[in-house]
Amino acid sequence: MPETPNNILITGTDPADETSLLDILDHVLNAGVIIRGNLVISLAGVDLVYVGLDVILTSVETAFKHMKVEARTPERIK
Amino acid sequence: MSLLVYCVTETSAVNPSPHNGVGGMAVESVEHSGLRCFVSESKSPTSKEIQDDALTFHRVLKDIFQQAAIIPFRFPTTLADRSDVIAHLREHSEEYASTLGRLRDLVQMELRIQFKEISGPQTSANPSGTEYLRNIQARREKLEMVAQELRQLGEPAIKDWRQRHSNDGIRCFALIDRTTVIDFQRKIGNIPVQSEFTARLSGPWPATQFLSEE
Repeated sequence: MPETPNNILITGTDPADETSLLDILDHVLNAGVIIRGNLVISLAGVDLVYVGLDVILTSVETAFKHMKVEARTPERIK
Repeated sequence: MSLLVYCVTETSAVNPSPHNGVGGMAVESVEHSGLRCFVSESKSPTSKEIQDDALTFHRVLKDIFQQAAIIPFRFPTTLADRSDVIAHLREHSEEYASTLGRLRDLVQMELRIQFKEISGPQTSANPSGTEYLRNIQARREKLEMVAQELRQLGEPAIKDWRQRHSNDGIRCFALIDRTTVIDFQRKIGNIPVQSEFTARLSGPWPATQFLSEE
């Protein structure tokens, strides 16, 4: 028996919705103008300094892209 | 203290966000060359606060974006002080003014289309490399066909369209007029997609995928 088609789910930009929350974090961290800089993040009262924050604070998808590029580079050199 | 930068808008007719910014800091604006950059004093977040801070950042952007087109900065972008902000606006004034003029009345809607099965049907238990790649290619082509069908059904509201494959499907970005968001959502929401896919429309978002002209 053929399955019935789905309707497209419509979500807004309200963080109260869990799906939207992921979208919002993705947009805030991954979309827009980048100016490289430093930010101090404190953990348990210890200041940890990160440089190049656009790489560290990013989505898994973007991190994987960077990891794939780095992983391929040695192959190209060979 | 350094400044957290939120977004750039055209100077005309934009009021500051009524809410405080990240860390409870007041949101202020720096103007130069017909552009307005929204900033607040930056604090050092703890790891636990980062999600809340990102959501506060989003709320400020949303307040401003409801009034006008914006060019957002990625969270958390900081500049040293107001003179650095002015220098940045001066350096990019032509590019920002042109982009904001082009996107003035437009917003971005995002459509994510995925297969319900994450790995997809395998032709055998241990496919060869060629078989695996053919399977991936076939799935990509199917996703592109669905995207094209939805794009055609969404026209003529769509002013521009961009799409790219992601790890879990295809992401499509439709540029539409700000005044047509509700109609667009209604129209897209009534389109049935084949049962092997799931599709989700989100937005309106600032038109970040259309900042550069292709």
